[in-house]
Amino acid sequence: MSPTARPPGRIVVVVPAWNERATIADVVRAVREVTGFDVVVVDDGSTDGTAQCAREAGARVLCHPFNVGVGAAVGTGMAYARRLGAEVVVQVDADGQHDPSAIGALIAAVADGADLAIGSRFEGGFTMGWVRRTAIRRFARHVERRLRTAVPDPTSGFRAFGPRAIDVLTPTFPTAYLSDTVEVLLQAADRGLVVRSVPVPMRARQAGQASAGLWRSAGYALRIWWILLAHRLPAGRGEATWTA
Amino acid sequence: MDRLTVFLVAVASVTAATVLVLVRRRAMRAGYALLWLGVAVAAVLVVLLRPAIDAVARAVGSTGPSLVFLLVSLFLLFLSVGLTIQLSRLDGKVERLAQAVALLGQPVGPSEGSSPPVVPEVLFPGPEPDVCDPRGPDATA
Repeated sequence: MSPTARPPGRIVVVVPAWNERATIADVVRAVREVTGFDVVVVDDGSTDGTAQCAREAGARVLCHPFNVGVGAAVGTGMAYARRLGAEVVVQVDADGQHDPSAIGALIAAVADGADLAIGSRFEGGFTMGWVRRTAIRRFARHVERRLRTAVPDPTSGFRAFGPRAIDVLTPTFPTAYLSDTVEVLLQAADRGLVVRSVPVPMRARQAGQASAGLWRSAGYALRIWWILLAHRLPAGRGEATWTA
Repeated sequence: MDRLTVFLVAVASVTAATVLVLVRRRAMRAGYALLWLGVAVAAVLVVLLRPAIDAVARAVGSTGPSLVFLLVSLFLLFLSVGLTIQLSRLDGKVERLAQAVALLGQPVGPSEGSSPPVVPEVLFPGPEPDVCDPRGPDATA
């Protein structure tokens, strides 16, 4: 930590979850045991009882009445964390891929002056298919050009938001898959937030399957690519935003 | 009256009648219905003003039917773009509403976890089991 660093205030862990019943309870318990922070699970319209599992494991649970999108779940969690008085929000996946012991490193980066700390899987030797790897590299190159800093894993959902990031990003947090991770970085660039990549170890999924098959993934990739292009134009208002 | 005139007037009448029924059944809002009534009136006008349309078409170096066809196509194009914009706006509103409902359901209390659900599960009862079993809702103990 630099000399200017100070310990952050209240920290809230936000876990977006959609039909993650098999893993959610373990994730909540592990995060609480390792960090002792408040855990907020945002159930994005699950039909498998995810909410109850999370609640029994000791999380505060917010339920979308229907499935909206992972980014919306994160946005809801951030809005709620803000009401709880959180200064730092840590986002953790519900599928058990993220090792709670790495949360400290993310928070340290925020305490050290970063507004947004991104947990990067690749330094930890995490491997994936070359199609996905190539797509992520392309996203990374585009995002890095805007942020002027290295973000090798822009699609990682293991991140920490500092106070400024919470204030700036919550009102317009993008809804859809990939937008919640990649497009947010462009918004961060637009708003002059300091983004830093932090190497984190990564585990294989504990259960369940990735939320999308090949064609669906290709659709998401095309969509985010188009958003990356559109982001070169100046932004306007238009999307419904939070007023509270 | 030639056959084209009869046909167009018939189409306009059916459109207007359908729209009226839809409005009465509350399947369409009156505001949107006004647009389609306007379309029906325009169809009748096209019939009545055929000589004028032909004259305008000649003046711009076209023919009556193709000019009308072009204008109608443009109208439909702009209309669909406008509807897509409205749809996007509604998407955004619905998302925000879902988030607001979620926030209403979990008040900011001092409780450490396990606050009782207030809104969503009452309004939208899901197939949640009584006991949490990671094997799935259908698993029996």
